[in-house]
Amino acid sequence: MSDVSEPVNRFQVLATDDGWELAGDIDASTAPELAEAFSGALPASGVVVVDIADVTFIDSSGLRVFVDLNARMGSEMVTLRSAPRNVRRLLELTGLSSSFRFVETADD
Amino acid sequence: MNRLPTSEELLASAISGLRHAELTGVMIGEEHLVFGANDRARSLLRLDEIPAQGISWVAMTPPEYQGGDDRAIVDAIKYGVSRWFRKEFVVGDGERIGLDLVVIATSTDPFRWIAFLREAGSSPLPVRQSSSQLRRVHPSRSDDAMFRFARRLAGAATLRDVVTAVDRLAAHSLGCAYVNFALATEHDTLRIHHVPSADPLIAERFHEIPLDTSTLLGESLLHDMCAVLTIDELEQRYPTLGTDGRSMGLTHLGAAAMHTEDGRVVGVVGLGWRDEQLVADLDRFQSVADLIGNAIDRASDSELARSMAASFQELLLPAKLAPIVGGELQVRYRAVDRAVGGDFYDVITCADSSTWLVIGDVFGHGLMASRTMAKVRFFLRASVRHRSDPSVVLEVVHDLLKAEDLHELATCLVARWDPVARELTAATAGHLPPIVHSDTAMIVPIPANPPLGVADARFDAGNVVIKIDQPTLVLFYTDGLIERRDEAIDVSIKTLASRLERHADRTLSEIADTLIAQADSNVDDDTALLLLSLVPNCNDVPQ
Repeated sequence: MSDVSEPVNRFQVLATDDGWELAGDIDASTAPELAEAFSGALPASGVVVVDIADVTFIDSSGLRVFVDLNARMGSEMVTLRSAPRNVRRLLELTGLSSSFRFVETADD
Repeated sequence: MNRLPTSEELLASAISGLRHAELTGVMIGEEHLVFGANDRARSLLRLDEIPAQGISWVAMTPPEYQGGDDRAIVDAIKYGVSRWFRKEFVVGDGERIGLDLVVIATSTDPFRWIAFLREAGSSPLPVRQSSSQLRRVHPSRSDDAMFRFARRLAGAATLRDVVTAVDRLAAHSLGCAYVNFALATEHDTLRIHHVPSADPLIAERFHEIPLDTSTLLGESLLHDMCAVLTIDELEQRYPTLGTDGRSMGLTHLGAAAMHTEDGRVVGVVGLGWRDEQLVADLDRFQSVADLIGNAIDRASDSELARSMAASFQELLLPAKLAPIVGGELQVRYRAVDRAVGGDFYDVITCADSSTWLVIGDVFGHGLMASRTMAKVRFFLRASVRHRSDPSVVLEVVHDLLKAEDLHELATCLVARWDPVARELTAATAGHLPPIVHSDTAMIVPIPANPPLGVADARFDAGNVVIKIDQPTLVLFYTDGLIERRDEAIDVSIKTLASRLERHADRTLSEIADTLIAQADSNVDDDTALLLLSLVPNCNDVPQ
């Protein structure tokens, strides 16, 4: 399918032991795939860590998927690992930064 | 795969079912009016001997079908529209009448709906096997062409995309020299869609033909056939036709009714060959026709769903803006073709001469986004009536939205302009900060509440008060105006601020036009802006 033009920052989602690792652009075209990944079983520990170090862009469709995941967790917050500055800034502007826990590296 | 349908898919299927159905009836439901309506129907139909509880549709529904109604109502509440479902009614002497129904919600609170009924399994056109008396020829071509054609059609979102795909690939996969397809109109005619590479003279002459059995296209559609004839056979069978096929050098002509996935006939495809060796076999011809039929069906459904959602959105934005005391206002809204966004704005003028300004963006696209947008706007209109604190208004709307438990989210910026105090008081639920320009352009940071509708969210961020002491421009906008993926969001907002500053000396309408025109047209998102010019009334200024 090389004749189909690919977005520059291809979206990827990878399941890990404690959550997911994401990369690329999360927008209206890729958010459904993310939502499907997030709809799977949550880690037994009850702590969900989403590594977003390689996420290049999020729009409101993408934010929605994170908000929905948070809602599924009940009182526990989703942990976002290695959030790029731009994503963190977007969460601040949209008043969502207090809804997530932020950690910097895998060792935190 | 057991995926839940999207509301667009349900709507498309509902519409497609309706378009091809001979409707038996329409029911409009409003729960608390049902009994009164039944009573009236009883007396109208002189059925007064039926017990006073009225006509009970539930009692007429056999137990095995009762789940269907409930499921449809759940569907309609959740998605706005249900799947088609079948049910039977038991009438007087135990006879059963079968019906197919679809329920479309027109409002959720109170729940109102409209249901369309058609005879069970009714089909608009007779369906018959391919006619055997017509000639069958057998050469074949590589399936690679067919595969590419199918893939291309799968991506067709509009009728034009289908025509283009047919032009490029149908002829190749069937070895033919000439191809067109025709769809039945409401006036018993066939509208012929010629491909762009068709001979313009032919295209002009054959634009619309009667839908009857006097032509190969008409007969194939009406009798659901797939046929290939030599040019001699054609002239013999359809004597009223001209000799265009011959003059084009065609030796064989064919037509096949096009089917959708669920077996409906949507039109007919017509082909011409110059070389007997290349004439496709009927099975292959029929497969191509059905590929096109399916693509047309999908394309027209999604076009219809899109245009419905777009008109819905247009209806929901204010048609006329009330004048503002001490100010002037321009709004702009730019839609995108391929999807319906959820941007909205509103301007509400109150009796105390204050004005509320609203801009927002629903998370998501399509009909559901329009529904959320409508709700947020109506909740806002209701809650500003007795309140003067924007952050309280946002909290009220947030609670109302959350109470419905539909996971609807929207960012929203709300400001109240008080021309007497000369103050603009603003609060935000996760929306982009306003830009204010008097001497220079300034981005006004407002402590952000989360978006409306976020579960477990606290709304305690409060307001920002902007004093207006000199002529000031205020810009509210949605992310379509700044969205650039390769740039930090703060940089994008600053760029917008300097753009406002650069054009600030022009008329308000010119500034609004310039800003919306400069929105990145590559952004696949709708865009709204609200531009306000506030002029403090000099007579009120204390000396």
